[in-house]
Amino acid sequence: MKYSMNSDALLVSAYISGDESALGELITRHKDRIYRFIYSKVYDRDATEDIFQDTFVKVIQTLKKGAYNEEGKFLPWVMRIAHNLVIDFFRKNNRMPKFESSDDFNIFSVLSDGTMNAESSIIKDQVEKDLQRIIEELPEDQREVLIMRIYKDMSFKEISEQTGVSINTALGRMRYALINLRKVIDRNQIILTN
Amino acid sequence: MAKLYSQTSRWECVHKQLIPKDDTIAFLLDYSRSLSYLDCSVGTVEINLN
Repeated sequence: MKYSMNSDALLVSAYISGDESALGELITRHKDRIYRFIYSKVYDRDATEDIFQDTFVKVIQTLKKGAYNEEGKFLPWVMRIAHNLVIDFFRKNNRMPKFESSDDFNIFSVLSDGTMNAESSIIKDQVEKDLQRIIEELPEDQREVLIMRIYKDMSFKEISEQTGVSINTALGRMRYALINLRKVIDRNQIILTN
Repeated sequence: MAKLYSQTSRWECVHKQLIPKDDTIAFLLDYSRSLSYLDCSVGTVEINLN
């Protein structure tokens, strides 16, 4: 029988009544869309083929059992089966992508390009200048340790050797330098975030 | 070269390949033909005739 002009509902009915060729038409009609839907989730050809097959096995079983009751909504029903099987696939493989659930989820918070735009670059420069100005106000011994540690990336052992003080003293000066920096930042309400 | 770029986008090429295998379709049609359910006193029995 020629089915190309018939609706999905008619094809489903014909299939349930025993016309096997109606299934062929339903599969031909929707196979590409369902296959691409699955592939868009799993990005794996073999897994897509398996899930596609399992989807239609479930479709066939449900229709033959007479358990189908989604009149006029064949494709969404099949897509839902495919979607559930995709979830099963991820569960079995334990590789479901995990994100913090949030209504204001922004994909760009996950996919950043790592480069700085012009605005960020200007802010970064400003923050660095502010920080340098504050560091200038620290007592000489504290400023010296902080610069060696933060900007020259020296260890406290190296700092103690270079400044001629013990490691504990160097640590103490670093601690007071940070305390004083915080005080100045709080007092002047300086924002040092990019 | 101009034809290649203008008439065949990469997206189209990828999409053209995203179709199920003929073997899979053939399996599903064969499976459908072989499958039947029989209602009996103990419930529904699945019969698969290979």
